[in-house]
Amino acid sequence: MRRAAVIVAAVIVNCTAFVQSPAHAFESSGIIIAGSFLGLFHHHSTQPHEGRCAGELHGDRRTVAAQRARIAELERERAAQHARIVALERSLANETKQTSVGTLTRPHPMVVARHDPARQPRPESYGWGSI
Amino acid sequence: MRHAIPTAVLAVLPFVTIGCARHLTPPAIADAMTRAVYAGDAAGARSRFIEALRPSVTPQSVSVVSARMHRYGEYRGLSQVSEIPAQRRYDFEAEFDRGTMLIQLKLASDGSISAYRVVPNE
Repeated sequence: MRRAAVIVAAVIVNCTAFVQSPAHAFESSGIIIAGSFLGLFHHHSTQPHEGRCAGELHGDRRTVAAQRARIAELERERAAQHARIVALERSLANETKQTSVGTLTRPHPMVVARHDPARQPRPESYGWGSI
Repeated sequence: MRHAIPTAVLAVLPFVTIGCARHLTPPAIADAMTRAVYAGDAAGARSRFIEALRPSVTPQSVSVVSARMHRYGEYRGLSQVSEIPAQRRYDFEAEFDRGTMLIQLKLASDGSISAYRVVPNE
């Protein structure tokens, strides 16, 4: 669009020059048109087109949104896996030694080693049957 | 003829209901069992166990476990955290007003409970 406007402007200038001085008309118009194309080429090479910039920006936003969604998904997976690990550790601790209803059961030595430094109470198990 | 279809539906409905009751999912079994124990319903809890364990499910033992549960407040429900399908072993996180407890469940081949244990959180 801009290129067409420049060419039209060049033609108008050329016509004006032809009316004023027919001998130099073609020469001047050639210079003007060549200058216009050089200007356009320079403009395109140094400043990206507006439409392309908007497209790239839109694409970047979509990429960022997708990456954020992926990060949130990974964090949810991590939280779920952490919950499973905690449950399995407790399950393992309980499976090592089970006694009758209401009595204290001793956790797995590995779990004791991990939890005892803080002197936390040991997990107790209540119920019926052996897991 | 106009009443034939509703009558047929009504006739089949009890069998469908019985069929569904017999095929409860492990989370549904764990939830029902937890609610029974929490409420101190020894008869209800006993009926869900395998025959060999039923004598040990006494009102006293149920009240012990129920008391432990009540320390954490009102029972809100449970969510499954892991399972070992080959062994019919399931772990659940039971949620209460003031904390959670680990529920360990083991089922027999007929769907009755062969083990039910509650592990308070530290």
